[in-house]
Amino acid sequence: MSLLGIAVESQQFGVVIRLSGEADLSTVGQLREALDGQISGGARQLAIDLSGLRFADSGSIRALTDAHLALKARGGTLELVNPQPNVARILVLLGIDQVLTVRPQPDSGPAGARIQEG
Amino acid sequence: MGRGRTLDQEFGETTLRVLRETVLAHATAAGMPEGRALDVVLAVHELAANAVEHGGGTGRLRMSVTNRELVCQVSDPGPASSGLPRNSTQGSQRPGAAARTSPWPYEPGHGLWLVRQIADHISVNCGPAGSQVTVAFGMLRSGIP
Repeated sequence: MSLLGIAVESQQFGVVIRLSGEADLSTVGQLREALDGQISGGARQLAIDLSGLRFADSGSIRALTDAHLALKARGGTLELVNPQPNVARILVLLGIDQVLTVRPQPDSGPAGARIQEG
Repeated sequence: MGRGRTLDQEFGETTLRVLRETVLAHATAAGMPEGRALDVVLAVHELAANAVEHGGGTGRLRMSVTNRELVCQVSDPGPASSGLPRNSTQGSQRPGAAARTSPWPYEPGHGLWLVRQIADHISVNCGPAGSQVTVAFGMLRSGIP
């Protein structure tokens, strides 16, 4: 059984990928597959919900920054939402908060990423 | 309880989670503040993941605690002993001193680089017989505020 839970939800503004559990070397292939699948499937606005993620290592964070670069090259965006303290710490240590958007709350996004009422 | 105790544990890709739990339990039992104990867990994990990925698939952690510091040594048998060579560890000839002396990548964002950001002291010893990396953490400094 995998340590990492990956749930994908399509919303009007894009795709939300909710990660839960722990992300490490044993799950990084699974994470890359999920991200690549969304990008090659046409998703351009990806929000990665980290609220349920207890641990992430540098290799898993690199999978996220690689997806960010792939999306950027296609005119898309990737943002990280609501990291818990343990994961927020590694994001700061790696300087990820300087490279891509990290939002504290799922509902406090920038204007461009707001969920529109339908 | 906790002072002077040691831990000696082998690990592989599928036992990294158990290793993290064990390290957290030992570091907090030894009196390490929780935020700093999580840094120890992160450092040991990154070193162990490097050992698994670049050092032949398995490795060993030895951890000891004194009143002043917590010392972790992560060692691996080296890629030569692996029956399953991974990625480009074999014959990798990238330029740069770090690449010549160590099969472990040392670049911003990678494991060893990250460990240098969080440990109080680190020493790296790499050779044909594998790698040994020793990191030390002072017992009094706190991590996450």
